[in-house]
Amino acid sequence: MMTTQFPKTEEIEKWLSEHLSELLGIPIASIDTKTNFDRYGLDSSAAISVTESLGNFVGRDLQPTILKDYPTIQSLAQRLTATAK
Amino acid sequence: MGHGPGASAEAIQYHYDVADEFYELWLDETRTYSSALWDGELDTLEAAQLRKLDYHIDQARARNAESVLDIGCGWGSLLHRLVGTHGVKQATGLTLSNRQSSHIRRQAWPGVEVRQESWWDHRPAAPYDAIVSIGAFEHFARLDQDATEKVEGYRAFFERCHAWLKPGGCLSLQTMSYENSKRDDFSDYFKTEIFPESDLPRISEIAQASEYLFEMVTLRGDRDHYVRTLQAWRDRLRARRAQAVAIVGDGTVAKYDKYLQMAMLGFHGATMNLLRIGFRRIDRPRRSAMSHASP
Repeated sequence: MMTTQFPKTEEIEKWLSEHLSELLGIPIASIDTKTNFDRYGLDSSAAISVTESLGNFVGRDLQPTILKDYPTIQSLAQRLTATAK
Repeated sequence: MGHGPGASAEAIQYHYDVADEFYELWLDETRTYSSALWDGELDTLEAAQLRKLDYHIDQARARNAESVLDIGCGWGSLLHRLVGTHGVKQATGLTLSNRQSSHIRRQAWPGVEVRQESWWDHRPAAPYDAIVSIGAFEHFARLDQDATEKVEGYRAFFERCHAWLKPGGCLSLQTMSYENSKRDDFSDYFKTEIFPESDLPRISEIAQASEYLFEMVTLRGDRDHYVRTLQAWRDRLRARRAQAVAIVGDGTVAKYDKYLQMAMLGFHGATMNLLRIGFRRIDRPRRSAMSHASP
Protein backbone atom coordinates (compact mmCIF):
# COMPACT_ATOMS: atom_id res chain seq x y z
CA MET A 1 0.00 0.00 0.00
CA MET A 2 1.52 3.32 -1.07
CA THR A 3 0.77 5.92 1.55
CA THR A 4 4.20 7.48 1.68
CA GLN A 5 4.79 10.94 0.24
CA PHE A 6 8.50 10.33 -0.08
CA PRO A 7 9.75 11.88 -3.32
CA LYS A 8 10.83 9.70 -6.23
CA THR A 9 14.50 9.34 -7.17
CA GLU A 10 14.05 11.65 -10.19
CA GLU A 11 12.40 14.30 -8.02
CA ILE A 12 15.30 14.22 -5.56
CA GLU A 13 17.78 14.44 -8.43
CA LYS A 14 15.93 17.42 -9.87
CA TRP A 15 15.75 19.13 -6.48
CA LEU A 16 19.47 18.57 -5.86
CA SER A 17 20.46 19.85 -9.33
CA GLU A 18 18.39 23.00 -8.87
CA HIS A 19 19.62 23.53 -5.33
CA LEU A 20 23.30 23.15 -6.29
CA SER A 21 22.85 25.37 -9.32
CA GLU A 22 21.42 28.12 -7.16
CA LEU A 23 23.85 27.66 -4.25
CA LEU A 24 26.97 27.59 -6.40
CA GLY A 25 25.79 30.00 -9.08
CA ILE A 26 26.35 27.65 -12.00
CA PRO A 27 23.93 26.85 -14.83
CA ILE A 28 21.77 23.82 -14.17
CA ALA A 29 22.74 22.40 -17.58
CA SER A 30 26.33 22.04 -16.38
CA ILE A 31 25.37 19.90 -13.41
CA ASP A 32 25.85 16.20 -14.00
CA THR A 33 24.10 13.73 -11.71
CA LYS A 34 27.11 11.40 -11.89
CA THR A 35 29.76 13.98 -11.01
CA ASN A 36 31.28 14.01 -7.52
CA PHE A 37 30.09 16.89 -5.31
CA ASP A 38 33.72 17.80 -4.61
CA ARG A 39 34.17 18.68 -8.28
CA TYR A 40 31.70 21.52 -7.88
CA GLY A 41 33.77 22.97 -5.04
CA LEU A 42 31.24 22.08 -2.38
CA ASP A 43 33.04 22.66 0.93
CA SER A 44 32.06 21.31 4.38
CA SER A 45 30.02 24.34 5.25
CA ALA A 46 28.04 24.16 2.01
CA ALA A 47 27.65 20.38 2.32
CA ILE A 48 26.09 20.87 5.76
CA SER A 49 23.62 23.42 4.45
CA VAL A 50 22.71 21.23 1.43
CA THR A 51 22.15 18.23 3.72
CA GLU A 52 19.92 20.24 6.00
CA SER A 53 17.79 21.59 3.13
CA LEU A 54 17.62 18.15 1.55
CA GLY A 55 16.47 16.71 4.87
CA ASN A 56 13.65 19.24 4.91
CA PHE A 57 12.73 18.38 1.32
CA VAL A 58 12.49 14.62 1.92
CA GLY A 59 11.13 15.04 5.45
CA ARG A 60 13.89 13.09 7.15
CA ASP A 61 16.80 13.82 9.46
CA LEU A 62 19.99 13.21 7.50
CA GLN A 63 23.49 12.76 8.89
CA PRO A 64 25.94 15.40 7.63
CA THR A 65 28.24 12.63 6.37
CA ILE A 66 25.70 11.34 3.83
CA LEU A 67 27.08 13.51 1.00
CA LYS A 68 30.51 11.99 1.58
CA ASP A 69 29.19 8.44 1.58
CA TYR A 70 27.00 9.01 -1.49
CA PRO A 71 29.01 11.67 -3.32
CA THR A 72 26.95 12.19 -6.49
CA ILE A 73 23.41 13.42 -7.08
CA GLN A 74 22.47 10.06 -8.56
CA SER A 75 23.93 7.84 -5.81
CA LEU A 76 22.51 10.06 -3.08
CA ALA A 77 19.01 10.15 -4.59
CA GLN A 78 19.04 6.38 -5.07
CA ARG A 79 20.21 5.85 -1.52
CA LEU A 80 17.44 8.05 -0.11
CA THR A 81 14.66 6.32 -2.02
CA ALA A 82 16.12 2.88 -1.27
CA THR A 83 16.07 3.57 2.46
CA ALA A 84 12.66 5.29 2.46
CA LYS A 85 10.02 3.21 4.16
CA MET B 1 53.15 34.59 34.73
CA GLY B 2 52.99 33.63 31.05
CA HIS B 3 50.53 31.26 29.54
CA GLY B 4 53.06 29.26 27.58
CA PRO B 5 53.15 28.54 23.89
CA GLY B 6 49.49 27.70 23.27
CA ALA B 7 46.09 29.28 23.71
CA SER B 8 45.64 31.94 26.41
CA ALA B 9 43.34 31.53 29.40
CA GLU B 10 40.90 33.93 27.71
CA ALA B 11 40.82 31.79 24.58
CA ILE B 12 40.17 28.65 26.60
CA GLN B 13 37.44 30.35 28.63
CA TYR B 14 35.79 31.59 25.42
CA HIS B 15 34.93 28.00 24.53
CA TYR B 16 34.74 26.09 27.80
CA ASP B 17 33.06 28.72 29.98
CA VAL B 18 29.97 29.12 27.78
CA ALA B 19 27.70 27.62 30.47
CA ASP B 20 28.00 24.37 32.43
CA GLU B 21 24.26 23.71 32.08
CA PHE B 22 24.60 23.90 28.30
CA TYR B 23 27.38 21.31 28.12
CA GLU B 24 25.51 19.16 30.62
CA LEU B 25 22.61 18.93 28.16
CA TRP B 26 24.47 17.18 25.40
CA LEU B 27 27.59 15.60 26.93
CA ASP B 28 27.28 12.33 28.85
CA GLU B 29 26.63 12.38 32.58
CA THR B 30 30.37 12.38 33.44
CA ARG B 31 30.60 15.48 31.22
CA THR B 32 33.58 14.14 29.29
CA TYR B 33 34.23 16.47 26.36
CA SER B 34 36.49 14.44 24.04
CA SER B 35 36.20 11.39 21.81
CA ALA B 36 34.87 8.27 23.49
CA LEU B 37 36.15 4.73 22.86
CA TRP B 38 33.30 2.71 21.40
CA ASP B 39 32.78 -1.02 21.44
CA GLY B 40 30.00 -2.52 19.35
CA GLU B 41 26.77 -1.26 17.85
CA LEU B 42 24.78 -1.28 21.08
CA ASP B 43 27.28 0.74 23.10
CA THR B 44 26.15 3.89 24.92
CA LEU B 45 27.95 7.24 25.12
CA GLU B 46 28.29 6.88 28.90
CA ALA B 47 29.88 3.41 28.65
CA ALA B 48 32.14 4.50 25.79
CA GLN B 49 33.38 7.52 27.76
CA LEU B 50 34.19 5.41 30.82
CA ARG B 51 35.97 2.90 28.56
CA LYS B 52 38.03 5.76 27.16
CA LEU B 53 38.97 6.98 30.64
CA ASP B 54 39.96 3.46 31.70
CA TYR B 55 41.95 2.99 28.50
CA HIS B 56 44.09 6.04 29.31
CA ILE B 57 44.38 5.04 32.96
CA ASP B 58 45.76 1.68 31.81
CA GLN B 59 48.06 3.22 29.20
CA ALA B 60 49.49 5.50 31.89
CA ARG B 61 49.78 2.55 34.34
CA ALA B 62 47.85 4.71 36.79
CA ARG B 63 45.78 2.12 38.66
CA ASN B 64 46.43 2.28 42.41
CA ALA B 65 49.09 4.94 41.93
CA GLU B 66 50.09 7.37 44.65
CA SER B 67 49.74 10.46 42.50
CA VAL B 68 48.52 11.16 38.98
CA LEU B 69 48.44 14.38 36.95
CA ASP B 70 45.65 15.16 34.45
CA ILE B 71 46.61 18.01 32.11
CA GLY B 72 43.45 19.65 30.76
CA CYS B 73 41.09 17.95 33.18
CA GLY B 74 37.80 19.35 31.90
CA TRP B 75 35.00 18.89 34.42
CA GLY B 76 36.98 16.21 36.24
CA SER B 77 35.66 12.89 34.94
CA LEU B 78 39.12 11.30 34.83
CA LEU B 79 40.11 12.66 38.25
CA HIS B 80 36.95 11.18 39.75
CA ARG B 81 37.50 7.86 37.98
CA LEU B 82 41.10 7.69 39.27
CA VAL B 83 40.29 8.18 42.94
CA GLY B 84 36.77 6.70 42.97
CA THR B 85 37.31 3.51 40.97
CA HIS B 86 41.02 2.88 40.56
CA GLY B 87 42.44 3.42 44.03
CA VAL B 88 44.59 6.44 43.22
CA LYS B 89 45.47 8.40 46.37
CA GLN B 90 46.05 11.84 44.88
CA ALA B 91 44.78 13.06 41.49
CA THR B 92 45.75 16.57 40.40
CA GLY B 93 43.99 18.28 37.52
CA LEU B 94 45.02 21.36 35.55
CA THR B 95 42.54 23.53 33.66
CA LEU B 96 42.38 27.14 32.52
CA SER B 97 38.59 27.24 32.66
CA ASN B 98 36.93 29.07 35.55
CA ARG B 99 33.77 27.04 35.36
CA GLN B 100 35.52 23.69 35.12
CA SER B 101 37.73 24.36 38.15
CA SER B 102 34.78 25.66 40.19
CA HIS B 103 32.73 22.62 39.26
CA ILE B 104 35.46 20.24 40.41
CA ARG B 105 35.97 22.12 43.69
CA ARG B 106 32.25 21.91 44.40
CA GLN B 107 32.33 18.11 44.05
CA ALA B 108 34.83 17.92 46.95
CA TRP B 109 36.00 14.52 45.76
CA PRO B 110 38.48 13.16 48.36
CA GLY B 111 41.99 12.94 46.93
CA VAL B 112 41.24 15.31 44.04
CA GLU B 113 42.94 18.66 43.66
CA VAL B 114 42.23 21.05 40.80
CA ARG B 115 44.55 23.89 39.90
CA GLN B 116 43.53 26.66 37.55
CA GLU B 117 46.84 26.97 35.75
CA SER B 118 48.60 26.05 32.55
CA TRP B 119 51.06 23.16 32.33
CA TRP B 120 53.54 25.93 31.54
CA ASP B 121 53.20 27.34 35.06
CA HIS B 122 52.72 24.09 36.96
CA ARG B 123 55.38 23.36 39.59
CA PRO B 124 54.61 20.09 41.37
CA ALA B 125 55.99 19.52 44.86
CA ALA B 126 56.81 15.89 44.09
CA PRO B 127 57.02 13.73 40.97
CA TYR B 128 53.96 11.89 39.62
CA ASP B 129 53.55 8.18 38.97
CA ALA B 130 51.54 8.79 35.82
CA ILE B 131 50.30 11.60 33.59
CA VAL B 132 47.23 11.68 31.36
CA SER B 133 46.25 14.44 28.93
CA ILE B 134 43.04 14.13 26.93
CA GLY B 135 41.82 16.72 24.46
CA ALA B 136 44.14 19.50 25.65
CA PHE B 137 47.10 19.18 23.26
CA GLU B 138 44.90 20.84 20.60
CA HIS B 139 45.46 24.07 22.53
CA PHE B 140 49.24 23.81 22.93
CA ALA B 141 50.10 25.62 19.69
CA ARG B 142 48.75 28.64 17.86
CA LEU B 143 48.26 29.24 14.16
CA ASP B 144 50.55 32.29 14.26
CA GLN B 145 53.59 30.22 15.27
CA ASP B 146 56.01 28.99 12.64
CA ALA B 147 56.82 25.28 12.32
CA THR B 148 59.93 25.51 14.52
CA GLU B 149 58.21 27.42 17.31
CA LYS B 150 55.33 24.99 17.21
CA VAL B 151 57.51 21.92 17.75
CA GLU B 152 59.55 23.76 20.40
CA GLY B 153 56.34 24.45 22.29
CA TYR B 154 55.33 20.81 22.11
CA ARG B 155 58.82 19.80 23.18
CA ALA B 156 58.56 22.06 26.23
CA PHE B 157 55.44 20.12 27.15
CA PHE B 158 57.18 16.75 26.83
CA GLU B 159 60.22 18.05 28.76
CA ARG B 160 57.99 19.06 31.63
CA CYS B 161 56.16 15.75 31.63
CA HIS B 162 59.51 14.00 31.61
CA ALA B 163 60.75 16.08 34.56
CA TRP B 164 57.54 15.50 36.53
CA LEU B 165 57.35 11.72 36.08
CA LYS B 166 59.05 9.15 38.26
CA PRO B 167 61.51 6.80 36.48
CA GLY B 168 59.65 4.39 34.21
CA GLY B 169 56.50 6.51 34.41
CA CYS B 170 54.00 6.65 31.59
CA LEU B 171 52.07 9.39 29.84
CA SER B 172 48.85 8.75 27.95
CA LEU B 173 47.91 11.40 25.41
CA GLN B 174 44.78 11.90 23.33
CA THR B 175 44.58 14.63 20.73
CA MET B 176 43.00 15.53 17.43
CA SER B 177 45.55 15.85 14.63
CA TYR B 178 45.89 16.92 11.03
CA GLU B 179 45.63 13.86 8.82
CA ASN B 180 45.04 14.46 5.09
CA SER B 181 45.20 18.23 5.51
CA LYS B 182 47.55 21.08 6.28
CA ARG B 183 47.42 24.14 8.41
CA ASP B 184 46.18 26.20 5.44
CA ASP B 185 43.13 23.96 5.33
CA PHE B 186 42.16 24.87 8.91
CA SER B 187 38.65 26.27 8.64
CA ASP B 188 38.26 30.00 9.33
CA TYR B 189 35.08 29.13 11.15
CA PHE B 190 36.96 26.91 13.61
CA LYS B 191 39.81 29.30 14.24
CA THR B 192 37.67 32.38 14.81
CA GLU B 193 34.34 31.14 16.13
CA ILE B 194 35.08 27.84 17.87
CA PHE B 195 38.67 27.34 19.05
CA PRO B 196 40.57 30.65 18.94
CA GLU B 197 44.36 30.64 19.34
CA SER B 198 44.58 26.92 18.74
CA ASP B 199 46.23 24.70 16.16
CA LEU B 200 46.31 20.94 15.69
CA PRO B 201 49.48 18.84 15.74
CA ARG B 202 50.67 16.46 13.06
CA ILE B 203 51.77 13.05 14.25
CA SER B 204 55.28 13.79 12.93
CA GLU B 205 55.47 16.91 15.13
CA ILE B 206 54.49 14.89 18.19
CA ALA B 207 57.10 12.27 17.29
CA GLN B 208 59.78 14.93 16.83
CA ALA B 209 58.87 16.81 20.01
CA SER B 210 58.93 13.71 22.19
CA GLU B 211 62.02 11.94 20.88
CA TYR B 212 64.82 11.19 23.37
CA LEU B 213 62.31 11.93 26.12
CA PHE B 214 59.57 9.34 25.62
CA GLU B 215 59.19 6.15 23.64
CA MET B 216 55.87 5.48 21.98
CA VAL B 217 54.38 2.25 23.30
CA THR B 218 50.97 2.31 21.66
CA LEU B 219 49.35 4.37 18.97
CA ARG B 220 45.75 4.33 17.84
CA GLY B 221 44.17 6.38 15.06
CA ASP B 222 40.53 6.50 16.10
CA ARG B 223 38.87 9.10 13.91
CA ASP B 224 35.83 6.88 13.42
CA HIS B 225 35.34 6.95 17.19
CA TYR B 226 35.17 10.73 17.04
CA VAL B 227 32.57 10.67 14.25
CA ARG B 228 30.34 8.51 16.43
CA THR B 229 30.96 10.64 19.53
CA LEU B 230 30.12 13.85 17.68
CA GLN B 231 27.01 12.25 16.27
CA ALA B 232 25.90 11.23 19.76
CA TRP B 233 26.53 14.75 21.08
CA ARG B 234 24.64 16.32 18.20
CA ASP B 235 21.68 13.95 18.58
CA ARG B 236 21.45 14.94 22.24
CA LEU B 237 21.79 18.64 21.49
CA ARG B 238 19.01 18.46 18.91
CA ALA B 239 16.78 16.46 21.21
CA ARG B 240 17.16 19.15 23.90
CA ARG B 241 17.31 22.11 21.58
CA ALA B 242 14.65 24.17 23.33
CA GLN B 243 16.43 23.85 26.70
CA ALA B 244 19.75 24.70 25.07
CA VAL B 245 18.30 27.82 23.44
CA ALA B 246 16.87 28.90 26.78
CA ILE B 247 20.36 28.70 28.33
CA VAL B 248 22.66 30.13 25.65
CA GLY B 249 20.37 31.50 22.94
CA ASP B 250 19.62 30.51 19.38
CA GLY B 251 22.87 31.78 17.88
CA THR B 252 25.14 29.75 20.14
CA VAL B 253 23.11 26.57 19.64
CA ALA B 254 23.28 27.03 15.86
CA LYS B 255 27.03 27.67 16.11
CA TYR B 256 27.62 24.46 18.08
CA ASP B 257 25.35 22.45 15.79
CA LYS B 258 27.41 23.59 12.82
CA TYR B 259 30.74 22.97 14.54
CA LEU B 260 29.75 19.44 15.55
CA GLN B 261 28.74 18.69 11.95
CA MET B 262 31.90 20.19 10.48
CA ALA B 263 34.04 18.18 12.88
CA MET B 264 32.11 15.04 11.94
CA LEU B 265 32.90 15.67 8.28
CA GLY B 266 36.55 16.35 9.11
CA PHE B 267 37.02 13.05 10.91
CA HIS B 268 34.83 11.10 8.52
CA GLY B 269 36.83 12.19 5.49
CA ALA B 270 40.23 11.82 7.23
CA THR B 271 40.93 15.54 7.12
CA MET B 272 41.58 15.08 10.83
CA ASN B 273 42.42 12.09 12.97
CA LEU B 274 42.08 11.31 16.64
CA LEU B 275 45.31 10.03 18.14
CA ARG B 276 45.67 8.08 21.36
CA ILE B 277 49.33 7.61 22.20
CA GLY B 278 50.83 5.72 25.11
CA PHE B 279 54.32 6.95 26.05
CA ARG B 280 56.90 5.55 28.43
CA ARG B 281 59.51 7.84 29.93
CA ILE B 282 63.05 7.33 28.70
CA ASP B 283 64.89 7.46 32.01
CA ARG B 284 68.35 8.21 30.68
CA PRO B 285 67.99 10.41 27.61
CA ARG B 286 71.17 10.73 25.56
CA ARG B 287 72.88 14.11 25.86
CA SER B 288 71.63 15.33 22.48
CA ALA B 289 68.19 15.39 24.00
CA MET B 290 69.01 18.87 25.24
CA SER B 291 70.08 20.18 21.82
CA HIS B 292 67.17 18.93 19.86
CA ALA B 293 68.00 20.63 16.57
CA SER B 294 70.99 18.37 15.90
CA PRO B 295 70.06 14.86 14.74
